[in-house]
Amino acid sequence: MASLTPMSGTLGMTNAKHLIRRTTYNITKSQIDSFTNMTVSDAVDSLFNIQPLTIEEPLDYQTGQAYINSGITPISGNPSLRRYVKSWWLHEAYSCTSIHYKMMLFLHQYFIVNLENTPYSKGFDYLELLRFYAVGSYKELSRKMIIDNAMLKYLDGDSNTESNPNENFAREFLELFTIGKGPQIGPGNYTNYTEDDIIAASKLLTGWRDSDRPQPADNAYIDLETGLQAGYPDHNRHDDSDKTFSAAFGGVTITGAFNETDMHRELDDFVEMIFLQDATAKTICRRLYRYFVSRNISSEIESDIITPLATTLRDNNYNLEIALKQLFKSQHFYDADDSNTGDEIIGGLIKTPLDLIFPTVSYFQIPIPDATTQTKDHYQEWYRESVDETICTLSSFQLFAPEAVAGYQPFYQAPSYDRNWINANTIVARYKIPEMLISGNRILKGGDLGAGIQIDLVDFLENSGIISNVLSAETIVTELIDYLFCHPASEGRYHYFLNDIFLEGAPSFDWTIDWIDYQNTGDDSAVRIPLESLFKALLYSQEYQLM
Amino acid sequence: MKRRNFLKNSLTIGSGSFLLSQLPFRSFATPEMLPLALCPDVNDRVLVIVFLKGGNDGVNTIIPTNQHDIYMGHRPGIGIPITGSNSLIELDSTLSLADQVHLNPSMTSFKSMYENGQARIIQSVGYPDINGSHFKSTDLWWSGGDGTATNNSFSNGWVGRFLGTTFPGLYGNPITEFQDPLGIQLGDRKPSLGYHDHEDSYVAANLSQQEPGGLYDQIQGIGTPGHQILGSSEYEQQIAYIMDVENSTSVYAQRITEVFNAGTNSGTIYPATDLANQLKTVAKLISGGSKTKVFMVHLGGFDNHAQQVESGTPHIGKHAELLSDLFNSTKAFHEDLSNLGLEQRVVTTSFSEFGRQVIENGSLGTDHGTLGPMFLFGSAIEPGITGTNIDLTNLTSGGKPDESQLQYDYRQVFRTLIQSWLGASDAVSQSTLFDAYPIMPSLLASNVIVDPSCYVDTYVAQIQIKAKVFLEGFYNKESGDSMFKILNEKNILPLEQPYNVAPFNYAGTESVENIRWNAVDWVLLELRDSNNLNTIVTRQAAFLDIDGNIMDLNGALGVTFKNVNAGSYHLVVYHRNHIAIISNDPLDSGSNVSYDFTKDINSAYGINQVKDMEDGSFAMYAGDFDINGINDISDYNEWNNNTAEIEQYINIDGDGNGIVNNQDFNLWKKNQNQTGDPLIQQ
Repeated sequence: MASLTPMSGTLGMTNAKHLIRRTTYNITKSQIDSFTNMTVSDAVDSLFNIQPLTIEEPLDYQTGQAYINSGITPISGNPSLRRYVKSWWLHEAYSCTSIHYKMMLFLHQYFIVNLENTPYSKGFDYLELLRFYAVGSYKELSRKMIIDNAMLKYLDGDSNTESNPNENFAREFLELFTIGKGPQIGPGNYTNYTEDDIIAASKLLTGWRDSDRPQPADNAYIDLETGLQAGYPDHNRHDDSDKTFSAAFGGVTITGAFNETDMHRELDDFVEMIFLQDATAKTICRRLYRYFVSRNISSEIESDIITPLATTLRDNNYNLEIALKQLFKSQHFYDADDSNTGDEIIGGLIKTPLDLIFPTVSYFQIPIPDATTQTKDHYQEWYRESVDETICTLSSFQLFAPEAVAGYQPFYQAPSYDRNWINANTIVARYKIPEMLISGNRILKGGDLGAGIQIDLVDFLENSGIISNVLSAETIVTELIDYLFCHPASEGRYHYFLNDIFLEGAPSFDWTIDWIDYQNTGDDSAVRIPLESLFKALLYSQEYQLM
Repeated sequence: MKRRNFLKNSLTIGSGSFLLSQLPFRSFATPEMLPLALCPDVNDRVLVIVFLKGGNDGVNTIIPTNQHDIYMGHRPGIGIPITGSNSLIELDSTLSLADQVHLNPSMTSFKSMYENGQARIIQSVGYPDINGSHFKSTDLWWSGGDGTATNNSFSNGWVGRFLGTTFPGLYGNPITEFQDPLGIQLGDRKPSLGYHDHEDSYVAANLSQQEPGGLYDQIQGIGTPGHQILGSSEYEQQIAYIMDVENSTSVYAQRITEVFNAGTNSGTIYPATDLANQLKTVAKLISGGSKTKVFMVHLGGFDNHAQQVESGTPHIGKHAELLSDLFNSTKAFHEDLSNLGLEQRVVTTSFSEFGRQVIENGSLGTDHGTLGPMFLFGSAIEPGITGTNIDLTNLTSGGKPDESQLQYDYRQVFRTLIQSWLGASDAVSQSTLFDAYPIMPSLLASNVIVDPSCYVDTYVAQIQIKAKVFLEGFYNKESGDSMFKILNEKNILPLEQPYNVAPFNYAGTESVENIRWNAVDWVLLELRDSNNLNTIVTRQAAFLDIDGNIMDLNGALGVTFKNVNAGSYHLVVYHRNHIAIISNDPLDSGSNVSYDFTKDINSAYGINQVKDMEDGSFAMYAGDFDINGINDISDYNEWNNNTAEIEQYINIDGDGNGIVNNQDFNLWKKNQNQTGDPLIQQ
């Protein structure tokens, strides 16, 4: 029986790797080791500690200056400046060892906007809004998102007026952002809401406009809670009639706002009505479950995990931190709640492209060009051209610019969900990563990855201290498998990596001799080749695609 | 789900199998038997589907001529005048006034195709209870579902079901006669639900953002060799899934690259758009010899809640650009095909997940609607208009066309295309879940319509069967649910199939160069006709692996029987020293053809024909050393005459350890007088 019963004791290595992989993009040996000996509760709590940004806002590589709130005019063109907002986010995501950036991506793939069609300051504000609520109240975030400047444009909220209602935002808010669609039980009736509710909601949402976003932000439009600039109410464009909702919402009537201040009240009533419904909490918990745990939601999971988790969420004003801690501390998250431990969850998700590249870079200690001194290599060459436009885009992950408001297929498309990350169309880009890191070249696109982005495996072995005994071929292979894969390798598999790949059939003593020769002569050619073969084979493996 | 099970069951027990068995099987293995005039060679026919993502505004595409003033009343901002400069285009004045339409001014290519006999409009297409969500409605169109509770949540797609049925077991296992992926998807990197078959496998190759000419170079050398043992954990299942993708990708990459590079486009000038490039690739692949049956291409951008036209000049803007892209590209595609001599092989159709509201929304856009037109293109179609104009005054409160105006269910159109154009049988339509939707006889040119007497159940006559069976003598009781492979470890398994001797006298030439690591022993498989269990249809030798799975000579799970028509069969398993068994239930091609002899005593036909291993598994009875279907004194004599042989591959070695000793006797002894079913005694 699946259960949210807390897991006691220390994590142990398998669970430590599991927890870190599922919640962060930055994986190091030292963090795995330290989590291994921590109690489940302490380890999970530590993931929620807020970490400061490494850099407050993105820099324009042509000036080396901040350009969102500094008041300094950037030189680069708008498309580049929009992309650097993404680069900035990517670097913060890479650097962060808490859960916040994985949660930001979770919230983004829920509240979709397209940052490539959004002015960069508004895109920045949108991301900051996600960060503000990363582990905060989903309900409060939903309320703020309705009048976020980027969102008002993306789903035509700004052109939704009393004289010309536009359903686009209202429909997606109900279908995708909050309560979600249930089974269609009649014409225009999707269990949790109806087509008439969409019409009522679009009327209710009329009159909100996006505000001009100067640099720095315009104090007149600052939201006092978040400190971020938002849209504003325009009562002349608002439909102030009373709006009545269907039986799905208990037939509630929300009084139309009589002035602009009252429009905030009307919005509050609307959000309150939606978040009063069990279906809303359950929908969010299912999304959380698929994102963090598993795509398989059986009726047992629905009743034993989703339902109680949804109760926690709803009872705590939709505070995500409380619900997530309950989930991550549970026996279920570690698949320890039935007799057959570890067969359902650990290693059962396919990695996103970010989960493929970032932990590889962090584990192998590949240096990232510095944001302030190597600004172009940092923002342009590495994060924009290499991570975003080569690795992610060619793996069908157009970060912050999905094709449609439903978001990214692996997060929403039943029945395959995360399996959609891997298809004939994506495996090339995913499997070229080791070659890219070894050569320092983008391979699938022209150009270098950026200054210094290249893995030197001989140096890694010699100086990182990550392999306990570099003279032993067995130790090298064992320790890499132990830390990089979710589960131990079978004997046959271990011998494949050790004998077929690393030693190419030679006795393991040959490696020891080669390494000693290298130490004596400084000629690393004999040790570099097998190390690179092993690195490629490990990263080519199906196991490495999983988390 | 429920419906699918129902269909499957009905195939097994009643009218379904009657249907299958009574229909004339016309496989393409023997096309020369069919009168050519009646039965065109549908093997070369292709369907191209253009999906218009976002919900095309049908009301600004096809405008009812005699309701133009009502139209302008609903659409003061985006409506296009019927007279003057930049006005709507009249399509066909020979139609009755009620049916006459005007076209968006950007549709000159459509008009010229229409006049050239290459275009047809189907009015007011949709499905019951149209869903207003892009994502859900798109899923419904591709899954073959609708908004009613029973058909609302199919987890796989109609294209996949159609292809999976007509090319059984073929995806990922190309054969000489058919080397191409069953489907090819372009223009959308997300694998379409439409291509998911009964088993939820994606049966197409997705070439979006790939350069087909260089695909093989890129695919070569990636991935790692297969794993030895994969269990049932989620982790191992994911590894198996990834391996499948790697295998099918590399299997098809070389073929696609070769076909693409062998193909050519004529001098036709295509527009410089993404859709045109997709169609150009399709033409090149077909000209290079691709037999891929269904191509799926995409044009996105139709979800225009705002600014779908330019203010004040409604004939231009986003929607006009999309329409001109769609029709200019399609026209170029069919011109190219004509120049290449391929026009008679291709029908193109387009659809969108729903139409839009008749009443504009005031942002110079339109919100989600309901019904919309579909289009058909190509010289093989019958030009014209099917159906009549929607009534622009019969709207819902939200300004959508009332759904009572539905004239055609989209599944009628697709069923017509898979049957009348591609020649699929009624049974295939049933398996595709289209059987409830009548064929529309007037969509295609009369000389291309496939006569029902020429319908086929499969394009390639073969059946793939997976099965699981244990041999009692080889069974590993300690670990359970598996068998020992001592003969393999001792290197005494023969490389050629051993059933070429009496009583089997099977003459097949199955052989391998190396024994797979997980092989336990050879078995002989046989299919019997379900309608007459005495009729042997075909035989084939294969291996059992340590998990009891039937494994082909390449180590793949399951065995493909070539040159076997779709139908209903019983599976027989013979082994050198175990009593043969025959499946209790028939295996029907077209559905998930797999059979498990290891979990149920009644899985083998007859009484008590598999032995309870007392750990939840069942196995074939050991001890039939002389293979006559009964454990009697003659088996003992066989054993007694040869006892103490070692390291031999010999029938009296009942426990498969290469040694003949008292353990083999014990196996025989405890099963003494066990008798096989007479149906399959050798």
